[in-house]
Amino acid sequence: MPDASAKEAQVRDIARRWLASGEVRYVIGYAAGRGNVARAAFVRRAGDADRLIWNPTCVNNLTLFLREEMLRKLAKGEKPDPRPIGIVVKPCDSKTVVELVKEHIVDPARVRVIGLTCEGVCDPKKLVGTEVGPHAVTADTIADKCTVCRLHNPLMADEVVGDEVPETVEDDYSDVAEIEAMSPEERWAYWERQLSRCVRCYGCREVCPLCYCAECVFDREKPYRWNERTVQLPENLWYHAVRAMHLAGRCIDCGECERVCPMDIPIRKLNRYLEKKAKERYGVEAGRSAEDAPTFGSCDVDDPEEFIW
Amino acid sequence: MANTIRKDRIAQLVSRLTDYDVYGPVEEDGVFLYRRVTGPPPPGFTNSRVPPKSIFFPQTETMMEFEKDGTGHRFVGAREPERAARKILLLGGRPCDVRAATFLDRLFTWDYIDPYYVDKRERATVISFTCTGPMPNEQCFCPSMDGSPSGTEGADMLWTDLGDSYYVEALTPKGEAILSAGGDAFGKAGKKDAGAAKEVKAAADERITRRFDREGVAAALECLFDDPYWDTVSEPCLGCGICTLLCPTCHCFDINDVVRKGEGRRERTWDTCQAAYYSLHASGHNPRPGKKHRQRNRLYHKFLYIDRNLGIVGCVGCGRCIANCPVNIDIIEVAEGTKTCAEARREGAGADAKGAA
Repeated sequence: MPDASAKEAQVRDIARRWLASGEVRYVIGYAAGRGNVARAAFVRRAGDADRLIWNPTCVNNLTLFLREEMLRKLAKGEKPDPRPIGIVVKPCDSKTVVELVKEHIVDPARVRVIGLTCEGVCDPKKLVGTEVGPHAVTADTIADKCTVCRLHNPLMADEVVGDEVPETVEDDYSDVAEIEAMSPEERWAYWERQLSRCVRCYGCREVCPLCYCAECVFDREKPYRWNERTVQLPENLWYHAVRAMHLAGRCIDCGECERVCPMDIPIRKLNRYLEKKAKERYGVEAGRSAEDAPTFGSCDVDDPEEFIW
Repeated sequence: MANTIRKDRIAQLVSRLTDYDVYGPVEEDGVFLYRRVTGPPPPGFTNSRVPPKSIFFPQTETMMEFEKDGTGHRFVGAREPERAARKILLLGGRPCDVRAATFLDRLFTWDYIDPYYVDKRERATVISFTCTGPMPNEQCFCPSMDGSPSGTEGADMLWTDLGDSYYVEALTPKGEAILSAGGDAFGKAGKKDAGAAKEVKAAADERITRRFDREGVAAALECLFDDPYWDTVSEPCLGCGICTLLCPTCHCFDINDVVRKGEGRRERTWDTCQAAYYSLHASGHNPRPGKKHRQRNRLYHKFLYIDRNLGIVGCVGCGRCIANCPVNIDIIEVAEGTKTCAEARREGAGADAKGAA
C-alpha cells in the first residue's frame, strides 16, 4: 500500500497551490479529529494547508458540505463568488460528486476535485477502545463498505493522489444475501427489532449527501403531516422505508448513514438491497458516470412494473 | 452499616421485588439500552446510548386520549390515560445519569409541576453502580462537572462491584426498603469489603483523564452572542439531533395530537433544538434560522441560561454528545474555546480603544 503520509503531503501541496493562486474559494478536506474519525476542515488560506491530513480515519464523505454550499442561499448583500470549491475525495466519495453532477446539484465548473486512490479505511466503531493514532486498515478494522467496494481510483478528479490501484473485488451482494434468505416473517422480526431502537435524530438523513430536499417530507407540517413526530415503530419504519426508496438507484454506498447512527441500525442493508434491485431491474448504477440519466428523472417503456397493479 | 450481595443472588432479589417494575441495562445488537429486566446488569456495561432519563421521561408519552363525537366535527371525552401505580426500580444507573435526574427534578418542578415526570420519579427507586470494568472511559469527565464515578447524588443505593459480589450502601429510606424486601439475598459487609469498595472507587476516580475547565465559560458566553466564533464551530455541524437526544439533561419536548379515524391521542415527544423546525414560528419566521444559531443555543442553554434560572449547569460529563457526534464536535473544546475567543475580543477592543485615543 502506498505510504499514507506521502499522499498526505501531496494533498497539502495541491491545496496550498490552489489556495495561493486564488483559483479556489476554499478547500474542504480532512483534519485530525478527536478520537477515531477525521474532522472536516475548511481551509481558506494557503498557510493553513498543513492542517490537512490523509490516513485511514478519513472515513467520512465530505461531499455533503459541497452540496450544502451549492444549495446555500446567498446572505443579504453577499456577492456570488464564481470560483470553484476544492474538495478532497476518496473513490467512493467521488461517486457522490458524479451523482450530484448528474442530478444538476453540482456544476462541474464550480468544483475542483483532489481524488485519492484508496484501498479501504477504518470503521471508527471498530476502533473504539484502541489507542488513538494513525490506524492500520486490517481485516478487524476495515469499514464494512470497503469490503464490497469495487472502485479504488477516483472519478472526475482534477488531480489524482496515489498510484492507480487495480479494481479487484467483484460485487456479488453477498452482504445482503442474509436478508434475502429470510422469510417475510423473519424479515419483519429483524427490522422490527432494529427500527424499534431508532430515536429519529435524523442523523442518517442529515449526513447523506444525496438527501437534499429543500423540505424533507418528514419535516413537513403543511398542508398536512405525512408522518407523526411520535417515536414508535410505525413512524420509524415509515421514515426508514421512504428514505431508502428515495435513495434507490442513487445511493453510492458511502455508508455515512450507518456510521453516524447512534443506535447502530444497519441502514446500509436497506440501501444495498435496493442498490441491487435497481441494478437488476433497471440496469441503474449510481455514481458510474455523469453522462448517465438521473435514476428518478428517466424511464423506459421496457421498465419492469410488476409492483404496479 | 453496609451490606453486600452476591451476583448470583441478584435474580433472587429481583424475584422478591414483586411490587416493582425493574429496569436495567441490557445489550441489544451491541448497544446498551435500558429495558425491563429480571436479573443483574450484564458484566461490563457501559453508559447506555439513550440515557435512563427515558424511564421517567419516555421519548414518546401519551398525555391525553379523546374521540370524535356523533357530528364528526368535535373531539370529546378527553381523559388522561390510566397511570401505572407500581413502583419502579432502576437497577444499574451510572452515577452521572442518576445525577442528571436530580437536574431534571429541578427542571420539571421549577415553574410548573410536570405531573407525568413527577409521578414516575416519585414511584422510582434508583440504584447507582460505581463505574467499573470499561467505565469510566476516555469520554468521561464527570469530576469536572462536580460529579464522581461513585457519586450518590440522586441515588437511593450505591452498589460497588467487588468481583463476585457488590458492596451495597443504602442511602435513603427507599434504598432501605430494597434491603428489607431483599431479606437474606443481602449479606452483611465486613471491614474487608468496605476497604475493597474504597479501592474500587479510588481506581475509578483515577481512570478519568479528560478535564473541562468551565470556570469563566458563562462570563465568556455573556459577550459572544453575535460573535463569528459560532460560524466556525458550527461549520461542520449536520443539524442532526444526536447530541441533544442522547443527553441525560436535555429535556425539550414537543406536543402533538395524533388523530386516526374516530379517535386521537395527545402525545409528547422529545424535541431537539438542533432541528430547524424546533424554533420555527407559525408565521414562518425562524429566530434561529441557521445551524450556528442552533449550536450556539445548545451551549448557551447548558452553560448560561440554566445556570441563571436554576443555578445549575446543564452537563454532567457523561461524554455521549462527544462520542456520538458524527462530525466530531466536542462540547469541551467549544466551551473552553469561548474563553480564548472572549479574551481575544477584549484585547482587540482594548487595542481599538487605544488606537482611537
